[in-house]
This record gives sequence, structure tokens and C-alpha cells, in this order.
Amino acid sequence: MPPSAPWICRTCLRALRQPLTRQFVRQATTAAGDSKLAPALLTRAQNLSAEYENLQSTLEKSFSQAAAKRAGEISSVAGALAAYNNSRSSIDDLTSLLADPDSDAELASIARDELATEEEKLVMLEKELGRSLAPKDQFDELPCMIEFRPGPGGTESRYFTDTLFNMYQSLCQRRGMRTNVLKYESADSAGDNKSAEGELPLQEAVLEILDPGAYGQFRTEAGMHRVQRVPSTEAKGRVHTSVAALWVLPLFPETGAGSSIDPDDPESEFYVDQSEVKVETMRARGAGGQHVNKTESAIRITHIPTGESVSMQDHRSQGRNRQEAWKILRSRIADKRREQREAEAAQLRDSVLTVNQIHRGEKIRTYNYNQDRCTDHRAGFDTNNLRDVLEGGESLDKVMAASREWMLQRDIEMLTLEEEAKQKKQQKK
Amino acid sequence: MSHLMIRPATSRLLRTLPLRRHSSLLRTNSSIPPNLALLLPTCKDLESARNELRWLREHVEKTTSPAKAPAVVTELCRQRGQGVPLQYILGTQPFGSLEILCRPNVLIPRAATESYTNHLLDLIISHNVIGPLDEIKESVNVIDVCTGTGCIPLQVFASLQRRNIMVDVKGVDVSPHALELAKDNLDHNVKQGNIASPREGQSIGFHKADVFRDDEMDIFSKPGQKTWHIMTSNPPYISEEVWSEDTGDVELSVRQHEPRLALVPERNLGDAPEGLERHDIFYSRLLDIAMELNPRILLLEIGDDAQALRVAEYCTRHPFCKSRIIELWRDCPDIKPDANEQTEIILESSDKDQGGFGRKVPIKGSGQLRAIYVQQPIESMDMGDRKIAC
Ligand SMILES: C[S@@+](CC[C@H](N)C(=O)[O-])C[C@H]1O[C@@H](n2cnc3c(N)ncnc32)[C@H](O)[C@@H]1O
Repeated sequence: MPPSAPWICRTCLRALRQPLTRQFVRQATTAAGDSKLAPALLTRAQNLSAEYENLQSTLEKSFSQAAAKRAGEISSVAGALAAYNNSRSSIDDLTSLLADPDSDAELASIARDELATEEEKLVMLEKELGRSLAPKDQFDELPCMIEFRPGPGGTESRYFTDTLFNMYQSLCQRRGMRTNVLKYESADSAGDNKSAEGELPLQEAVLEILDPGAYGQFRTEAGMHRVQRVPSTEAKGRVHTSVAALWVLPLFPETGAGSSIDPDDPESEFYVDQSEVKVETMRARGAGGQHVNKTESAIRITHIPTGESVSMQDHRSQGRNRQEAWKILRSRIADKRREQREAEAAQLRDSVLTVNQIHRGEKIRTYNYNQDRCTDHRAGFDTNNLRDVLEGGESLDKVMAASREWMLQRDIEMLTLEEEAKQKKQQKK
Repeated sequence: MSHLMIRPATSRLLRTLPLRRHSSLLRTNSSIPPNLALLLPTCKDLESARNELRWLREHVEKTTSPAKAPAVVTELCRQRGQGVPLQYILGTQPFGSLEILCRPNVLIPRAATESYTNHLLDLIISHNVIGPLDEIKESVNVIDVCTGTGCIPLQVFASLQRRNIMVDVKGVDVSPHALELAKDNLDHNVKQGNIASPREGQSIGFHKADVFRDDEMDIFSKPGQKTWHIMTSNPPYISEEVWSEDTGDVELSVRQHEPRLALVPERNLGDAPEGLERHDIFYSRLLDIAMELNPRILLLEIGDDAQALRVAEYCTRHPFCKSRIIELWRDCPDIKPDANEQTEIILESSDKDQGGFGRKVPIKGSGQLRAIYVQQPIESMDMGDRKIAC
């Protein structure tokens, strides 16, 4: 930098070029067409931002709960768009300053410098804007439960399911998250059948993660997990492939407190009407009451309209079993309803969506013991320290972060397609 | 999120429901692990043996060193297989939000008792059956007669206390073992964090008294005594014949290990009034005490359908129940009845004053008849489908 430079600070530079560049702005906007942000998304952001400003002026006149709520939801888009526009216009200004043959050489060198920084910043802001537009899952802030089920293939897949169960439990422990085992059903409660790795043949388990926001952190873990390894029972040393399936379901806080979703509110989309739920207990024949001292506490509850049913016998108290079963049932039903809603959104974009279609039921992750590798197939992410992954260590954090980033990008892509479809429809009209 | 695999539609519970008591099938199966085999004589089916084994294991893991654990588990399985109640082995039984300590000499709380206690609490808290709780000037006053482990009053206390309701709860029993255990249960649950130590305006206590002695029961109805809101009792109700005859009505494990005093009304208590049998003697006495205490709600556990009808019919003639609502509750009062379960019954009143009219009594819930509920009607409250005395 030339010795005379220090008197020009960046803000001064900006002030300096203001009157000079105004006239170029319009043309320059069209020139900066190398944005990675899809035009459809930008349009959406502009619409939301305009809506935000309208809401703000309405709110200044008179307060309304609904308007305030909506404004809160979209304020981050308006903020992100403003920052993005700001950066865009700085770039335009700087570009036109540089294009001006009459500009001072010293000034030009500073402008070049600043342009580089600003362009870097724009990339960040673009991402930020994308993020703010990405549909926020309404369950993200909730705690969650993870359901574990082995795939077909007998004991080996059950053993692996147990490993996954322990993996997430250790992860939560390391992160200081509160967990609770809602259900743990091993094919062999006697524990006489442990694998060489100390795994139990797990048939079904439900792990509850009670920290708010757990759903957002774990929802990308749902899907088919594949293991490739030599089972301890395999005499010939051949590598077997088996799978376990995970469901991640939102968990509703007891009273709906601390969350905007209150499942006890009949108006809520996630309300389950008690009268539509059938409760069955083990009906003892013969005498009851003081005459007998039964320890059977199994309970089954069924949501009649959907046929969804949960049975529970883990706890010694029937009341407790019923509470836990009810929790699982409610989460499953909420999840079903959400799937329905997603399917409706998918219909809208399906017209556009062909190549990129996500195949349901495809494996999301592979744990390869021989190659000491864990691969997330969606994110195209590999990590080598398999042991650390399985122990719920920081390597697992990395895999999960990669899946979440993938999910975010996919959500933005989906949103783009949806927006394009919507905007096309409007144009036709 | 995709449901990648079909959930097994027939759960294990579903599969085991129609398959109870297949012990003959099990005997021929030699591949049953030894610990489960030890449990089978008592548990009768594999599913419940598996559950009990899991609970025993969890207990041993918490209380024994890993080296000794397997031998201890096997020993406990052996004891359980010989009929020692699981709760005496583990030392506890969950009851509502509490963990109730259990010891020989005191009856183990039953699931049905837990169900109706919780249902009663639900009625009090959410359905204003003793009136709106914030309109009660002093405290909600509760007395549980024949309290045993203290499970009922402790759960009532814990539940009301949690909602910051002023509450005064008393448990009464004649057995020193029961009283000692009830007090220990209060301490234990305070330690466990299930109950907060009583605050200003909240109290709970256990008192020794024989239901049949006026001098011992009088203190609860002394003039100047505050209003009783709730009176509960799960008295001994098994007849001597059923107890001693090997009809199989009383489970062997109960007869061999639980205290007779808690289960069978003693012979020397005198004759039951007309319409009742000897082993119903506690109910006539409890209704007389209710006459003195005048609680807004009386809830009595009963032994079987026949006893329920006898006692309910007796109630319709007893002055305490005059112009009060009577209901019968089944084992699970808050579960919808099956299609074949009656939801009301007309009791033929033998009382000539009633002019031969029967009295319609609603039956709530599902299961066997388990309790009689008598409630003072509250004009201001929403009566719903509840029937008032005719
Ligand atoms: C069936 S147990 C009920 C225990 C407890 N309420 C429960 O539900 O688990 C009956 C209790 O009544 C007590 N009892 C028996 N005769 C009594 C009497 N005459 N006066 C007071 N209590 C008596 C017994 O000691 C026993 O604890």
C-alpha cells in the first residue's frame, strides 16, 4: 500500500464514491449475474422482505398478535436480504469505480482490495440468506425420541442395532444431554447371548433425548444404517452386510410448556383425541384385588383412526407403561401427519423434480469395520476413525454435522424447485 | 422422514395376549435359560418371566458388585420361583409417582389401588368434585383408614402438593409394622425427591388406631375438627373360607407371604348387619365412621363383583349415602369399557321407605368391580353424565 494511503479509511472511501456511482447502480445489478442464489429464491426473499416491511408499518399503527408472530418468523429473512443487498451494491459500486478510467490509481488499489473482501463476504451472506429461507422444521426445537429396529438377517443385525443404540447413548452422555430409555427389548433378556463385542441381540428400543432442540440435531439420523463386518459368529471370516432402521420422532413436552406446540390443545395439529385411543391391559382371569399379586404391567394402546399401536411392558408400573406408550403413540401420529403434509408439498414440486428425486428406503450410512470407515452416503462424507464414531466421539459429531449440512442444502434446493413451480404457475395465470 | 421398514404389526404383547398359561408347553422346552426356568413356577409364562428377570437383574446391578451379581441373580430367581413376592425381593413397588418400600408384614400395594387413587386425584384436580380447589379456605383434608404402606395418602399428598395446594393428610392403621413402614415411606420418597418436605399449610402423618374402637377413632371426629374432604379405605375383605380353602382364589404367594391381618377380617369383629356377609364387616363400620367424619367423598376398595353389589346395596340403605351420588368403579376406572361390560346397574333397594324403587348406579371403567365411590353432589359443578340419587 502506498505511503500516502492511511488517510483514506474505508468508510471515507465509501463516502467518497457515493455521488460518483449512483448513476451506475441500475446497470451494474444486471451485470452481477454470477450469484449462486437461484433467482426464484431471491424473488421469494424479496416478497418476504416486502411482507415484513408491511407488517412493521401495520404494527406501528396497531398491535396484533398474529402480525407480530409472522413478523418474528420472517425478520431473519428481511435482515439477511438487507445485508445481502448491501453487499451487492458495495460490489457494484466498487466494480464501477474500478471500471472508471479516470479513477485515481491509489484509490483503485484500495478498491480492488476491498472488492476481494466484499466478494468473500457476499458468499457468506448468500449462504446466510439461503439458510434463513430454508423451511424451518416446526419440530426442530423439540426434544426427540429415536426408535431402533434391526433389519432382516437375524442376530447380526440385532447386534449391530445394539451398537447403534449405545453409540447414540454415549454421544448424548458426552454432550451432557439428558436421555431416558423408554423401551429396550432384547431377544434375550437373560444376557446369555452376547456377541464377542458385548452386544445384545436388540429387537426394539426407544431412546428419549430430553433436551430441547434434540429433534433438530438428530432428525438427519433417521433412515437405514448399514454395517459391513465379519460377525463374531462367522466361522469362515466372511464379511456380512446387515442393516438397522432408525426413526427419529419429535417428542412433545408434557404440558406443551416451553414450546409453541401444545399437543393438548384440541386446535393443535398434533392433538390426539383420547376418545379415539383404545387402551388394553392384560386382563387377569379369576380373582383380582388383594387376592392376587400380579407383576404383569403390560399395556397396549391403539389409535383407532390410524391403526397405530404401541405396547409397553418395560416398567413395573402399569401407569408408567401407559404414560410412555402414550408418548410414543403421540409422536408417531404427529410424524405421520407431517409426512402427509410433506407429501403435499412434494406434489407441487414433483413437476420439476425428476433427476434429483430422493429414493426412500435407501441406506443413508455405512459402517465398514474392515476399512475402519464410516460413510454418509447423502453427504458424500467419509471418516476413518470408526471406533470413535461408534463410541459416540467427536468423529460422530462430524458425520452428523455433514448430514445436517446436506439436509440444509437439500431443503434449499427443494425450496427453489417449489418456488420455481409456484412462480411458473403464477405466470401462466 | 421415511418409514423404511414395516413395523411388526403384531407386537409381542398382541401375540402373547391369547397365549397365557402355557406352562405345559414350556416344560417340554429344554432350551430355556436356567434363570428363566427358575422363575417359571411362579411366573407361569415366558413373557412375564423375562420381564421379572430383567427387573431382578437391574436391581442386582445396582446393589451388588459385578463379580457376585450372577450368583445373586440366580439366588433371587430361585426365591421368586418359590413364590416370594417380587416386591419383597426388590424391596419396592412403584405407585403413581412414588416408590413404595415393601416389607413382609405389610401388604404390597396393588395395581388397581394405584389406578383408582390416580383416578380420584384426576377427579379432584381436573373435575372439581370437591369444588374448585382455589375456593377451599383451609386445606384439603384427607383420611385413609387401613393405610398399610401409606401408598394412598402419600400419593394424594405428593400429587396435591405438586400443584401447590394446601393439604392435610392422615393415614390410620392398627398394625405397628404398617405405621413404621408408612413413615419410612414418607422419608424415602422425600429423599428420592418424589415428595418435597411439607411446606407451610401442608402436613402428612400416620396414626395408630383400631377402626373398631370408638375411643381410638374419636379424635378424628372431635367437635371443632375441620371438614374432611376425602376418606379412603382399602380394608381387609377376604373371607376366612376363601382364605383357608384351596380354591385357588387367593394366590399361593399371597397366602404364604403377605400378612393375614391385612387381608382377612378377624372373626371376633362381630356379626355383619343384614344384607352383608361376615367378611363385609369393615364396610358397615367404615360407613358408620363416615357418618361421623362426614367427608365429601368416600372411596372404598372391594374384593369382587358379588361383594361390590352387596356393599353398594347396603350403601343405598345407609344414612351416609342419602342424597349422595354412588358409583361403582372397575379395576381401570379411566379405561373405556369393553362392549360386554355393563355401564350401569339398578340396585333393588330392600328399604321399604324407598317405595320399592330401584336405584340406578353408574359403573365406570373396565375390568372387575373394584371400588365404591360416594360423593356429595356439588350444585355448582358440571354433573356430566353422573346420576344423582333418586
Ligand atoms: C388391605 S391392607 C391395605 C393397605 C394399603 N391401604 C394398600 O392399599 O396397599 C389393610 C390394612 O388394614 C389394616 N387393618 C386391619 N385391621 C384393622 C383395624 N381393625 N383397624 C385399623 N387397621 C386395620 C392392616 O394392618 C392393613 O395394613
